[in-house]
Amino acid sequence: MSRFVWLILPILAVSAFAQEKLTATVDRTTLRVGESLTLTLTFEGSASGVSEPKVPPLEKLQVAGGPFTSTSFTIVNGRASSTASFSYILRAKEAGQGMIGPAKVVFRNKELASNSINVTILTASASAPGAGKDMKGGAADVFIRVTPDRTTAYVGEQITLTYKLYFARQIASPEIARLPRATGFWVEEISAPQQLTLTDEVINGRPYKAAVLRKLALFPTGPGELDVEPMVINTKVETQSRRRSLDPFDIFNDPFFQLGRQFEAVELESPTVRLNAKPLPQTGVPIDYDGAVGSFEMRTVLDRQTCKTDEAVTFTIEIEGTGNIKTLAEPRVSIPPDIQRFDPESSEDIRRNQAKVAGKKTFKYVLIPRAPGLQEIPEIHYSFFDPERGKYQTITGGPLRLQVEKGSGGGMLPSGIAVASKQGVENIATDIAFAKTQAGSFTIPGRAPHRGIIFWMGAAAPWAALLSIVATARIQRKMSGQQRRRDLLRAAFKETQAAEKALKTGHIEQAAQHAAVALDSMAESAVGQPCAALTPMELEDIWRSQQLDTELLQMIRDVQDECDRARFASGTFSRESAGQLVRKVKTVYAGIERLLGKGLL
Amino acid sequence: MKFRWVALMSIRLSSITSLQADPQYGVDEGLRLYRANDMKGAITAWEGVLQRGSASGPLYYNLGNAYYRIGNIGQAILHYERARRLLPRDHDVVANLDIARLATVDRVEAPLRLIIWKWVDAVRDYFSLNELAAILIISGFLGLGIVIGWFFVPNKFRAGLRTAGIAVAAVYILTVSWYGWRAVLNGQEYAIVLAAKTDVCSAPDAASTQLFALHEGTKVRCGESLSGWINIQLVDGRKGWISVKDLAKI
Repeated sequence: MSRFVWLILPILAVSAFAQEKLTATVDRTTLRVGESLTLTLTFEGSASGVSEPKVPPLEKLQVAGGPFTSTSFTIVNGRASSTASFSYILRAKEAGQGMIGPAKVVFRNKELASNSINVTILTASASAPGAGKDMKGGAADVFIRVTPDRTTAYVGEQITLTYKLYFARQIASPEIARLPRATGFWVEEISAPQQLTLTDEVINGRPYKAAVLRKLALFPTGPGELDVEPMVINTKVETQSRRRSLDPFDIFNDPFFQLGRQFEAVELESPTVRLNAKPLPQTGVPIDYDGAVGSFEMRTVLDRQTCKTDEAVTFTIEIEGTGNIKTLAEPRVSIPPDIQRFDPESSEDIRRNQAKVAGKKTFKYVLIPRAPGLQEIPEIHYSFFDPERGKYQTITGGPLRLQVEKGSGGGMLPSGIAVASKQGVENIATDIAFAKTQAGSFTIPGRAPHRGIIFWMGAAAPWAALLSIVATARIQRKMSGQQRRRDLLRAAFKETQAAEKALKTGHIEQAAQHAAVALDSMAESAVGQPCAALTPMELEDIWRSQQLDTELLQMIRDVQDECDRARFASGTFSRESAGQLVRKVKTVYAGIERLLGKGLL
Repeated sequence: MKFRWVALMSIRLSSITSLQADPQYGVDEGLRLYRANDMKGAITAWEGVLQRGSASGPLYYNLGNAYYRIGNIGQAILHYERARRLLPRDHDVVANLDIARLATVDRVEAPLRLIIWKWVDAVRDYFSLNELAAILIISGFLGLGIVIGWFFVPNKFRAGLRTAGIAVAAVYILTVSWYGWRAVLNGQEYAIVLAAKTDVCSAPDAASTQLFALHEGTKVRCGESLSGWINIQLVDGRKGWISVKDLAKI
């Protein structure tokens, strides 16, 4: 139990002699816009182990400096107390009823809150002491002025902003708290002096000391209206002496002495600058334009004129001038395919000490010729937009020639010719093939052949010819058959006559012979083919198939039999019967002739 | 005397007009301008030849080149396609058409096909319609010659002649069917979009739903047309109606 008492005792002791308290006080409760007040947060109690307070919520005020910390320890009537104070410099932002909310500290895991304070903020008046950012009136004692050399520029064109601090009262240790933020710009600091150079300037009849704080070169990266946010500096400004020294001995209060001077911390803010970036003109843009804006010159250098194959040659392109050197794109270089080319190394040398950002960008290519001969690097074009002339310019460099001799690399053939190192033939570009010089055969536009008469004539002609040939042949055959039959019939007629003649002279046998030949011819002319080889049955079939008169056939057969009898048994054949035979032959002849005349055959 | 002058003048005039009507003259003039890099002049000369009713594969091809050079991709593709119908085996036409197609915006995925159909297409497109017509007519006459020759040659040649006759007959039948096939396919009209952008609607009416948009140089298949609108189909099968003035048929 006693052990616990020892543990508790110190806690009791602390709580017994110190009531922790956080108090907020201000040096004044009425001030003007731009002026500042000091807020002091006093913590009473054990100063050790107290955390730094959080900035209290502020209305119409902002923190311009602090916290400045101090601690003290006192023993009054045997009671020890320690205090810690935290001071802030608060600046009035706008007129109205301002408020400092309760500040909070953490002490031994306990949160303590201070009281809140109301302040009255009046509008800044021309005669108000302290700092102001009123530029136009020029009446403020201390202010920053921003001067752009132009407010409208092309995209990529330089705009120079000069930040100048003006002060009519003594100031001390100005510090840049925040550099201007410029979104949408490429920013280069042209000058950032370590030592401020003071000049005398008179603004609205009031003398000021002026010092250039910063010079910035801004390059808009895109078109449109762009704001440059203010630059903020913290400084201390000498306050007006509260009372004029009437006492001649009160020399220590005289402003002449540093000791007597009262300084007040102020935060100065430069005005916001609105700049307008114009887009680059759309007309006359060179094909190879890559976004360079300014004014440039180009130099192209080969480190030597002759070299051997497989030896490295340095090819340098320098682009020098004013403009945004950093953003310059690589020039488009077409190196002959016989030269191997490595990606360039680029370096910049930017001069910022002038009004315009200028300098030089160097592209170094390592080239290795792979084949001997005179190699030519064609003209290099580089385009940029010249904002002063308001138009695009193209500069050229080259062409450059490089005499490449055969190097010792590679083997030798027995003939003494060096073996060349082989490389693939690379395509440099792809393009459509050239126009055709031969017009070819002409047709009617958009018409298929079968829509024209020539096609059909051509296609039909062989068929027509074939058909006509077949038809002609058929007719021919038919015609020739008729003719032959007529010829046979004529021969039969002649044989008949010869038979009659033989009969008259008494040669019966001969007459029968002639009659038989005549009958054969007649039969042949009737059926259209020789009948001697046919059997009687076959002949009869053909006869029937040709729908000839069967009586006539019977008659021919009877006469033939009689003829045979007359020929082979002539002794038994009388002259009269021979005469009858010839008459019968004539009758057959007449019958056949009738058939042919009718056109049946 | 007067009459002679008039006669002479008329001869002169007729020779000039015939010179201009001669398509070869227009083609050469266009080629001269083309080589002098005057693409617009070349186009005027060559289009003039077409308007006077003469066309040839190289002429269409050259026009495609000139249109490509002035950046008119739609017209370039249109004329290359026309050239390909007349010069199916020309590598330049195919190569330039492929290059021109690189510049088109629309990518329409054709459905996957068996490789055999590609071969079939390659065989089918091997000859142009004009060439097939020529083969057809020539083989017809050849067949006729063989039939006539049959009656006149001695018997010992007849066996060879019969083989030749069968071969010619086979070629003839093949060509007739091939021609018919090609003619039917060419009868299905294709067109190239010439407008920079055109809306494809669900109905032949500007107020109807817009289905998708097509850009210059895209090839479409034409269907029926209705009062200034035409039904089109893409290779992937999508269909819609398009304003006829935004297209040109191949």
